[in-house]
Amino acid sequence: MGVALTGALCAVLPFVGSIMFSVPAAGDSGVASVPGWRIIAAGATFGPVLFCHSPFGEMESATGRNWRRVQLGVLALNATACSLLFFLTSLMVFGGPMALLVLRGIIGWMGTALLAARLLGWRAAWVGPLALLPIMIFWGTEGPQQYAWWEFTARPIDDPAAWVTAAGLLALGAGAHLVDRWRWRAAVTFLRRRTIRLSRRPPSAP
Amino acid sequence: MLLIHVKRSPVRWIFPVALAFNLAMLFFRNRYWIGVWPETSAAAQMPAYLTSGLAAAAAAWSVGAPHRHGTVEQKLPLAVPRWRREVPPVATVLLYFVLISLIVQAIAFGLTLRTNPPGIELWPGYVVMGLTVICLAVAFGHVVGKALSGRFAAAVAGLAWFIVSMYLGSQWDFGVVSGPVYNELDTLTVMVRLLGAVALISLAVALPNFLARERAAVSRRTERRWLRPAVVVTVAAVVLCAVTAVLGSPVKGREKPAEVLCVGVRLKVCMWPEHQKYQSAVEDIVQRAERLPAVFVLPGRFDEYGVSYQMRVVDGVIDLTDRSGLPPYFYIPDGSTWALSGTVATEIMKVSLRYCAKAPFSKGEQVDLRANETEAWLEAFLAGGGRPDYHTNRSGEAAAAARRGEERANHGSEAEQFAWAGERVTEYNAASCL
Repeated sequence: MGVALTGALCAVLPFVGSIMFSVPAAGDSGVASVPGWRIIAAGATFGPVLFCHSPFGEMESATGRNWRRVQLGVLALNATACSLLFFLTSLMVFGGPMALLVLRGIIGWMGTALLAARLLGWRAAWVGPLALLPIMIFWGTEGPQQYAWWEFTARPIDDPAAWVTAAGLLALGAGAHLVDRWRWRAAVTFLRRRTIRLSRRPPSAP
Repeated sequence: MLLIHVKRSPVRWIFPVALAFNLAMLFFRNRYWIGVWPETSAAAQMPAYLTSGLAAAAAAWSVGAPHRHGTVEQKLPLAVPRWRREVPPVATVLLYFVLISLIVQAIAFGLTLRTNPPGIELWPGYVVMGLTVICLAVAFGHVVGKALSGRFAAAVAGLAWFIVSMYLGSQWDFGVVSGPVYNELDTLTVMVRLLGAVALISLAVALPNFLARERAAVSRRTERRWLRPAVVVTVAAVVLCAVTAVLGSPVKGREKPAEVLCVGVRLKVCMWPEHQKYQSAVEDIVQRAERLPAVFVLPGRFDEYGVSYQMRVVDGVIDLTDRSGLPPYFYIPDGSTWALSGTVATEIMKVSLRYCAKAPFSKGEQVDLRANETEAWLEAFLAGGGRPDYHTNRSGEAAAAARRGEERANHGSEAEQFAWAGERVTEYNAASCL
């Protein structure tokens, strides 16, 4: 189902991907020229992340390590398949350098969707990319072909800050899913014990 | 029933966030809209255009509530008609997002009301424009929510509407990025569009459910009861959409104003009365121009774009009306008076310098560069010093010459600058063409 949604977006990409839209922006000119592919790429992450939603979510959250391992495995597989599908379509439609830009965008959007899924639930994962998209367009555009350092969808392909931002978002999103309530409690307990032990340590001799 | 939905809808959590987001877009873009009525309402309309994707997603989300809660089967045998069950959630989403738009408009209105310049009649059009986009987004989201009703409905509705709205904004003027004074919105067109959008919401509510699971459970009798209103709403929506398409874009060029705001004596600069907030800045530029040494010839009069001339588009073709006899025109884009000083500087140079009439239209590279430097100085001097608030695509020696000219305007006394500039003009006019 997730791959099907990404497949539908891939089918739209050749028709809408190259259209330039004039959108309000906070930069000098007040207008940003946004190509369609920058918007569609945000949607490429919806399929794999929303697919993780299940009506048995509450019960599943109480299951053991094996179920979570399977769920995250399916998510990783689905995300890789969808990203690859979208990347290859972009490669055919726009060519190499642009496809790499699309890939960087997907990496960042994937992180945003994962983070939103962790905070709001799998079903509301779309809120992250859909809320960040207008912010990226509005405040990320500083002028004609000039973008803020954190604008990971539009900065030049050799820009290290944009790659770091995209990778950082992905790490943040993936990391958020590693922090489940048991691990969190274990971490808090560990820190608390350590703090108590440190406070009980006798003062060193002069 | 509506009140229960308003109190319980998940959109109430989106409301403060979306409102903060809208206000941030209004205030962290630029502030030149404060004090000019059409710019005020256009600036306050713009966030509605950008956040309408959230409205579409919220509409799709709320219509899918029975699926999320697993109450589809329980709701099917209810005696209350389906449309009455669908109206409260869609009205709730509409209410919240319309409220956001109106709050933003009210705040913007209050800021401009403090100076209350002329042109308040230009304000309501953009408000209606913003509301139309919200209505269209809600109608779109409702249809998508009905068609998919699954986990992807809200995501698909939000993203698809983002693309659709940008297309409608770029191609059909359903949203604007600014409201320049030389344009106005056609009241009939914007009102018809709003009515069309409301009719589309009604159509979205009247449409039968697309999902097979629900369709199979609904009896033929119930469906037939729906046939007549559904046909009426469909016909109304189609007619309104057709009228909207015939009326075309609501953005129209304004007629020449009956009264204009003019400043200066030797150099007269006339502008739209709605731009009275720029009067003192324009007076400063005019006074500086009138102090220039005699070698600089003043063209006489400048008009703001639209005051005496406006480009017309007839059947998609630009009507290049003969502009002979009309004064040069200038813009104040984004509240920038540098645009005026740039235009005045260019026109003064045109009449003060004796350019070459024959190809290659040059007096030599170095002489031309010095003329560029003088023009950059003149522009910066008229603007009152500082650095230009725009970017150019000049490069190499031309950019360096312009930079030198700007720096000269920021250093030395006025007498020294005038002496230098007078020499430059005399030197250029004395040089012979290649």
